[in-house]
Amino acid sequence: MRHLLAPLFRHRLMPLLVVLQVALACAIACNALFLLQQRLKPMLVPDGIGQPNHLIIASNIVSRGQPWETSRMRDTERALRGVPGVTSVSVAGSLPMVLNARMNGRVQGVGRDTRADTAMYIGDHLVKTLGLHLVAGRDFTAEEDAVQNHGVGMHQDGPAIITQSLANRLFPGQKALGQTLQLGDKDPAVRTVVGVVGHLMRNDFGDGSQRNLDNVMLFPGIPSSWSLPAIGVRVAPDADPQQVRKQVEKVIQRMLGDGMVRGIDPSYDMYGTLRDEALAQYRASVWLLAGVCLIVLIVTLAGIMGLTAYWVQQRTRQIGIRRALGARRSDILRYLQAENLLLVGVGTLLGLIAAYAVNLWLMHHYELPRLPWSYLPIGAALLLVLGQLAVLSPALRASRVPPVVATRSV
Amino acid sequence: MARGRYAWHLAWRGMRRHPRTSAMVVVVMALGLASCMSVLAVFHALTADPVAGRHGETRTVMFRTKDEKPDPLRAVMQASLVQQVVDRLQDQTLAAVAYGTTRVQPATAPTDAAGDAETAVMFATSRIPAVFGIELLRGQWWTAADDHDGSPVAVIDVATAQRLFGTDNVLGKSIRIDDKRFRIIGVHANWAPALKFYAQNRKQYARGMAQVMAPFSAGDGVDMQMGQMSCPLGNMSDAWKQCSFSQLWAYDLDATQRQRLLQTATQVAQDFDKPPPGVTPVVYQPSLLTVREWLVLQHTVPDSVRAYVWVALAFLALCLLNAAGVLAARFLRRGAELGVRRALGASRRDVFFQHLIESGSLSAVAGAIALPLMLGAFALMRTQSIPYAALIRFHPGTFIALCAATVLTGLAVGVYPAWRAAVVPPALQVKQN
Repeated sequence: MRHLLAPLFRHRLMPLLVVLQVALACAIACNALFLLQQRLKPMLVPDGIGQPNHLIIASNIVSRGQPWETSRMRDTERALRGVPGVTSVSVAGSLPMVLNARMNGRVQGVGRDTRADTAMYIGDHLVKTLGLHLVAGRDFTAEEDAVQNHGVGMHQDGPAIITQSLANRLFPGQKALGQTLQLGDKDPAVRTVVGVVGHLMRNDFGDGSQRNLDNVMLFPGIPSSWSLPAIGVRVAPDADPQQVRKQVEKVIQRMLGDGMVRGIDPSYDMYGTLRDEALAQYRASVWLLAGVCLIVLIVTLAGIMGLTAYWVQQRTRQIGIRRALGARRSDILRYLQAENLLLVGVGTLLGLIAAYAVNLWLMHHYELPRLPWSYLPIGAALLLVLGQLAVLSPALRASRVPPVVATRSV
Repeated sequence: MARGRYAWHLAWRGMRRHPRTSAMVVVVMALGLASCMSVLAVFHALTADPVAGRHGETRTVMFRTKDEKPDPLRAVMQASLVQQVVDRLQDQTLAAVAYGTTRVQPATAPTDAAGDAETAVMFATSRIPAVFGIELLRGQWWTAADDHDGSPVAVIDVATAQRLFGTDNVLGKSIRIDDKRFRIIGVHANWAPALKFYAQNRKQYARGMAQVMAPFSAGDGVDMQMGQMSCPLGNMSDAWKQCSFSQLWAYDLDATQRQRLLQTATQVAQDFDKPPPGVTPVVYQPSLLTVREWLVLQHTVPDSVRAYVWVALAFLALCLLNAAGVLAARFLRRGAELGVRRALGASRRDVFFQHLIESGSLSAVAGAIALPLMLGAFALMRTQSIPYAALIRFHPGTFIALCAATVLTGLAVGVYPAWRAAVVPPALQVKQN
């Protein structure tokens, strides 16, 4: 150990620079990887939608002057159901990946304290149209879907279907079926859970830092007094979705066209397309952060290589002496590798502390979640491997120093 | 002079002798500078004062109830409420503002003509030019009397005048906002604060400044797409008056005026929100927000951008450390020849400056490469669907900052290695070899 440490203290500059570089690189890489994972989350979370390319979403159907009448929406729905190739139609207040209308609330089990920030989709035939997978309970019945909502339907009694993650959060360790929910303890309206679906993504994913992207409730019935509805149309697996989309556009234009605000055209998209568009901004930052990580690692690799090469060259004579005194090539190689491991190890340790401190600070000031511990060993391992890669070429060159060098120029 | 030339010559020779490490130093520094400056430019665009250059503070009123956390939605209230506050404070630079986008056409165009609904329209009370500092090119603003009568008059910007009529001499002509006719009485200069601050809505980065402005009370019956309101979409007519879509903005109030504004706002809100008998009324405690505070509440600067700033700064530090290390290694490797030079009479200053010139030129080259890299990064960011992409622009200020950063990094990278090279003791080096 002593022969490893002594030279480090004799020439302090080079080892110090290596340690500092590694520490900085480690701190950056850990935090950038973490931000990267945050941005990736909305892309990786399952959205629960079955057959995304056979689901048409019509949105931005803006009513003029006054909200859409429910009867009119029902007529439109009936007309859409008559289009060949359409298996199910939903008229909803908002739908997944429709970003311009959102309904959110803090929901809690009746008589319980745990609240969860939750997105609500209020509409009829949602489970069938969106292709959701029920893991427990049942879908809404035809009677439940035919309910006349007061207002959008947020604050009234009735059934609800919730996602598994919301069920786990509100009723940990218990069956969610049959439990009752309310939107805050002052709201008298109570909803009974009749079904649980596996996944469904909310339509506000903010910075992607939310932990509850999968907290969603479904309420039945068409929202009334709502001027910005979205209509989901499920296309039969054997029908051509583009063909059906054109028909849907025609029907909606015919049924609702004269009540729309002129100049604002509804959009008719496949769900898959909407999803790609909504996630584009996350994709952009994922590329950016991945690029940053890569460049940081390359720069560090080059930096350690350059410094080690110089430092090895500086010690050519000493290495020659050691070879002359009986050290084998592999001894020299291993000596330099161990030295690099030590330096990079110290740097990594400092870097991890810095990464954690930076994260704590960011968490304190901004809405960023805590850096999970699992990132630290990953970052450390990455840098240690990198360090070994960087030292390989200079160390091999050093191990080939012939013993005769020792006899020269002394 | 000759000495200076000699130092340049030596520095040039030094660079040429190690083309690989020279290239590496340049590339690493250019990457660090470009990434750091790009992120800082974005950050600056998002945080800059949107109404820079005015001496007073622009403020909005947030009608929060007692003990309630600040909530930007509480600054957007019912039209009649804000109207009452404005009416009671005739002597203050204060205006009620409602804004949105809708279709604006010359009145002569056929009513069913297709047109885009994207014209930004602002309905405001008559003191709005003083509150926002909007300059009029010709014509006049509407008066308090117009406010009272709801006169259908409008002030439009030059660009819209050109677009609609092909000329900016449009006084007296009529336009249709949605379906309602308005007579143009004024043309305002393109009023373009760096950010449409009053229309911020949780990271929406609304574009397009108020192109058409009209009296607040003249908005009745106009369908508008409004971003920030309690009903999803709608118009300014009676049925929608219960929806919250109006804001109060005040400019340059002194302490007593602010006090009075808050008092009046409290009273009006309290009267407005009278509960049915038997229910305890909500206690209002409004507060004033500056544009800065308002933008902070709206999360105009996403937390991710703040995180990027730190990542970019740390990355620059890493690059500088890297370059400094490589340069130090290179300079110290020359110990022997420096010893000879020193022994032959070169002063420490000569050696120091020779190396500073060498590192300085490398950083200058890096800065020159960083500029196109940065422009490329901007172009790339604009093609991505980032909500604030439209704000990212290359300013002369950015270029000056880049130059300053280059010089500073050059010094930071060069000084220490150059000093280490300069203190090489001549005798020892000569002896050792």
